Amino acid sequence: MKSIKKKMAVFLILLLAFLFLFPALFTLLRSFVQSDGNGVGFSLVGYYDILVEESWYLRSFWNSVFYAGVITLLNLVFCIPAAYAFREADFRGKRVLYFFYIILMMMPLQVTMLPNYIGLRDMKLLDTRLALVLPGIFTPFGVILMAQYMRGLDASVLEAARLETKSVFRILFSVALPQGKVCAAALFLFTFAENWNLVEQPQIFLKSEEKQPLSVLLAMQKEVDFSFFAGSVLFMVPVVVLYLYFHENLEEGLGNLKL
Amino acid sequence: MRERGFLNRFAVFFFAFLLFFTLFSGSLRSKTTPKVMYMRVKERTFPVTVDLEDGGQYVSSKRELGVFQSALHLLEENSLEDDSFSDNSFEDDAFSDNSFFGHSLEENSRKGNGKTIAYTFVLKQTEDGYVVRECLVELGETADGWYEVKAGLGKGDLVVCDGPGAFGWDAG
Repeated sequence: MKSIKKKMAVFLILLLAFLFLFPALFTLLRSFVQSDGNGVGFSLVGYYDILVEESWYLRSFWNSVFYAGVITLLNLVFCIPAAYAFREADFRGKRVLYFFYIILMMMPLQVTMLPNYIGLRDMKLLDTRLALVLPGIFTPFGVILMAQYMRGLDASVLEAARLETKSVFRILFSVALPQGKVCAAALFLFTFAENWNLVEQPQIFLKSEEKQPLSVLLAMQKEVDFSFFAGSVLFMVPVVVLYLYFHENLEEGLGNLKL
Repeated sequence: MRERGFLNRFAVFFFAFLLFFTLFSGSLRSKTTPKVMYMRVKERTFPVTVDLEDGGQYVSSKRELGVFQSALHLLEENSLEDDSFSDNSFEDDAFSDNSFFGHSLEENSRKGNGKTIAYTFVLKQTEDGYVVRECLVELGETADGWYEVKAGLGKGDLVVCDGPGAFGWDAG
């Protein structure tokens, strides 16, 4: 009975895994297949089209690399000290501020988009790359994730570090961060994946096509042909590589969260 | 650890691969693009024959825009019904009368109300480089293989006079 249950569970997991993987597998296979009047066959024409003939593809690919890379790195630079402050600093209104962070994180993207738009318009930053970068680097999600992880840090180790030095940043980067690097890696992965797939914000904050990330231009493609599938495959590669690189950190980081 | 080493190498290769195409796709594209020979439309000297009252003829000359015959192509029947000709710069009754299609330039000159009509291919500059567009031309006098351009082309236009056969015309 136990063995049948186990087999059923394995079958169900495999079925679900296949359902989740199917779109990616279909995209991968379709990118190498070209059908014409003569039949169906292996072809690299789609890759040739997007890499050589379609100049917009690589331009917007590097735009995506820029946006996702810069936003992710700056996000970590601001989130980690903020999270450390929530753990260590004692100030009035700390709990209220944390509560507002949680409320802000719960809000849908569309709600915060309008205030962001008005702010960027008043600062005359619309249709500039900063219009995507600035709202992206100050996100409550990263602060909350890191703060929750840092709650679980060993207090005695931090206390011992305080006896050694008074520099808060030294304690943060030499003691706290090495203990929380698995969570920082998970945050890196989440933030990169989120900003790699930006669609709504660029469509509203950017007008010029040459500044648009690849996620927007791929979503706007009218003709779904083999070059579209080839473009989608190359678009998936950075996120898949990052996931494979950090997946152990992701599992460990999320597993150690003190909720 | 071995997995990370492989991923590092793969990531470096992937981004280097895309960087290569970012830097060199322009030259790759130009190498694989069909090449065409073109000539500029410029002024040539054409003869003008005037019939005199006494029955004789007076031959003079004039400077007009000219295009060489190798760049001109015969019209095929019903070809003007195609939308690609709709943006031509001149309209004429001759175009609505298909009677001259499928004949030689000389025959057309007799059948098209005395007008010689041909089509040619012109290079137009766009954001992505030069593209070839079809163009209808009304022709006038001839001299040494050159045809006077009465309408359809402007001075400095780049007219394709030879190509790799990619446009589906019969050269000549």
